[in-house]
Amino acid sequence: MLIVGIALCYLLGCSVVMAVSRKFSLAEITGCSFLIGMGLETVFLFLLDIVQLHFTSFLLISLNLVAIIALNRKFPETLKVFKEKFNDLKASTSAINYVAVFLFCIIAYLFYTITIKNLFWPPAEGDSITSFDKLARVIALEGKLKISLFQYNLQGAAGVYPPLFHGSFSYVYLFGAETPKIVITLFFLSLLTLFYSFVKTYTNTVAAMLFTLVLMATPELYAHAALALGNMPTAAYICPAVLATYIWLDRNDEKYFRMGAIMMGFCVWIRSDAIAFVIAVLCMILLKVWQTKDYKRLFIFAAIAILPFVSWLLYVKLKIQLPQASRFDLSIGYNTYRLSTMLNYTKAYLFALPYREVHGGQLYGIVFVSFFVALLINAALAFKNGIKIVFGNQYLLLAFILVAFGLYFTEFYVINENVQASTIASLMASSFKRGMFYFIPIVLFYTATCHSSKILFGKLEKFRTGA
Amino acid sequence: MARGKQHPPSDKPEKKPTASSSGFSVGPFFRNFIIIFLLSVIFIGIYSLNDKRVELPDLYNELQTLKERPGNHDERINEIEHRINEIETDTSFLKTLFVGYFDEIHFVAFGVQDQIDKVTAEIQNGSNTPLTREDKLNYKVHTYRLLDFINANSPSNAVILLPPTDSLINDSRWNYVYDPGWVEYFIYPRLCIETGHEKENPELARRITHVLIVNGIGYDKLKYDVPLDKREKVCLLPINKPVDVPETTDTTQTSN
Repeated sequence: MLIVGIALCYLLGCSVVMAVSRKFSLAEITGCSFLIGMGLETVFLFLLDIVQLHFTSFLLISLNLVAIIALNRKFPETLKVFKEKFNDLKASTSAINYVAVFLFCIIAYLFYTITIKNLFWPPAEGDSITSFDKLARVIALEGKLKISLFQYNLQGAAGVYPPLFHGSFSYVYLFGAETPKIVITLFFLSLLTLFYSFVKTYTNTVAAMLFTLVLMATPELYAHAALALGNMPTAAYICPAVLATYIWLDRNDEKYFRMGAIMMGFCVWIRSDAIAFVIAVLCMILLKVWQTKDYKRLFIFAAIAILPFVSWLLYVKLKIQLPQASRFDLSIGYNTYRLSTMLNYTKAYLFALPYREVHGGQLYGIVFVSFFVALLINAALAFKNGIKIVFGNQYLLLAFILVAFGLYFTEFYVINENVQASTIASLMASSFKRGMFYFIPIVLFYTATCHSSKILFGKLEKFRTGA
Repeated sequence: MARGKQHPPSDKPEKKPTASSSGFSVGPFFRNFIIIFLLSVIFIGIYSLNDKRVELPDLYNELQTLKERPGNHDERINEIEHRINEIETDTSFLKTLFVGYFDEIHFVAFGVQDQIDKVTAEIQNGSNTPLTREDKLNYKVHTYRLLDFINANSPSNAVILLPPTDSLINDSRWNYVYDPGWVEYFIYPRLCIETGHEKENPELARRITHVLIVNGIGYDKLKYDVPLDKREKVCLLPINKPVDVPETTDTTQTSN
């Protein structure tokens, strides 16, 4: 039964991807299918809750089938497209790239081992027990989003989070899963597949494989591929949302505009505080449309990206009606202790340094260090060859990183310690640390596709092929 | 100018291609091999940077065993502590940059199957029955037996009064059995409320059916008296006078 549920989720996502555009690569289709499919399954749960229909696997199967059939009216054409894509894949792999195969084998082995670990242990993390998995199990049992635990304030902190993450757990529970962690594996797989395909758009297979390996092997991210926590899945949505939008802006490719907007919508459907990333992406778009004056696109993007955020906000206010103190204390002003604590932790994370109980190097390995090294090399190259040649449209990506990080940092600066029942130091060592995942695919994408890397990997490819 | 110039067909015999009929080319193969070799050297180099850490789990295990074992083992304890300190404080920038990768490769990628086999053997304890979710939770959550005991000894509509946080927060053996948000995961559909928070949730407080006694704390919440000689340290008692003898559990011995 669980296989049916997951297959339906993939089919639904794949149908949407093919409806958006038939020109996506197979890797993009595979990665997006699960993310969009699971996102839509939780939208179904939300809509069923609104119309007060209790969730059952039968109801979900029916809804899925109706949606899949409606989206596949041109099924023979879709089949033809897939046939062509598979033929193209066969043709492109006729000359074996041994280096890529070698790197792929390492990725596959690491993925296999972390999956074994993930599927062996049931969720036992504090946040999962007090919130995510508890909500998921009770939602599946009671067949509604506003479960009885809200009445007694026993729902946990994630009770007011949008339902994508714990809803995805409920979805697999409804299909008979004993533990929901298969979902974590599939989120991780989607993140890796999409990252690979986006990097591959700009560089060669070896570079794309190598950077996918660096992404997957990032120690803290790899550890989270075996934990039932929401940060890695959120990164799985933020990665395609930001990178697809960037590719749309850079290459003016319409299909990436649609993919970016849909994924951005799901970012705030998995975590409301991802709204900071929506704002940063809108800034990135604004920088570009400032020149083209195509403001219509900006508004369409904003509407698609913000709609889920507003819908959930209204649901919490009107249906859940949970009395809540504000998570943010905007009257905080200038607080030296808080700022210096936050800056010290941030410095440790970004420059692989130790600070109190954390060590940036142990957590994120070479990710941020290599980003800064690449940035410095490119800045030096820009002096020699000109900014436009070296940076091109990548200033958009850098602007995004800067704005998103600024907003993310500010979010924590104004956080209300009393409401969170945690000190700023402990928040920096836990929540902030895990939130750094959202930046990892983006900074690695820059490192992989920047001017200096392209030169380096171009030379490597020339040597490899003997061209 | 010369770039666009068409070269006339040469009379020289064409250089013999190294490719076979299947398209296999020796040149590119060796070039690929060289890159793979270099990558392997880099990966192994990164791995060996922190290979001393392999000793850590055994050292920590031995240290714990010696500390628990009666007798004088000071010399060996000092030796182990010195070695652990030597490994843990070897923190050059390059080493710490790659230490996370070492741990993940050595302890997760290479070690996960062994760990799972070890845990499975430990839980199965000689039997060959497949492990359930409950078995694994029991292994991970050291108060699981107590929580399971609550489920076995109270009706599904029970409301449990948990001990106050400040009475147990310094005793890690009872971690989180005072936290309603945490306990609820294990006892649903039963409900729970923490002692001292009754005013925040008066409706639930009115419905309390059972009191969870831990470390002998909570007898004052019962609406009847339990003789001192019959007071168990850990048990679940109905808030109103029971008909039978109070149920007790032996979780203190099973908790680790």
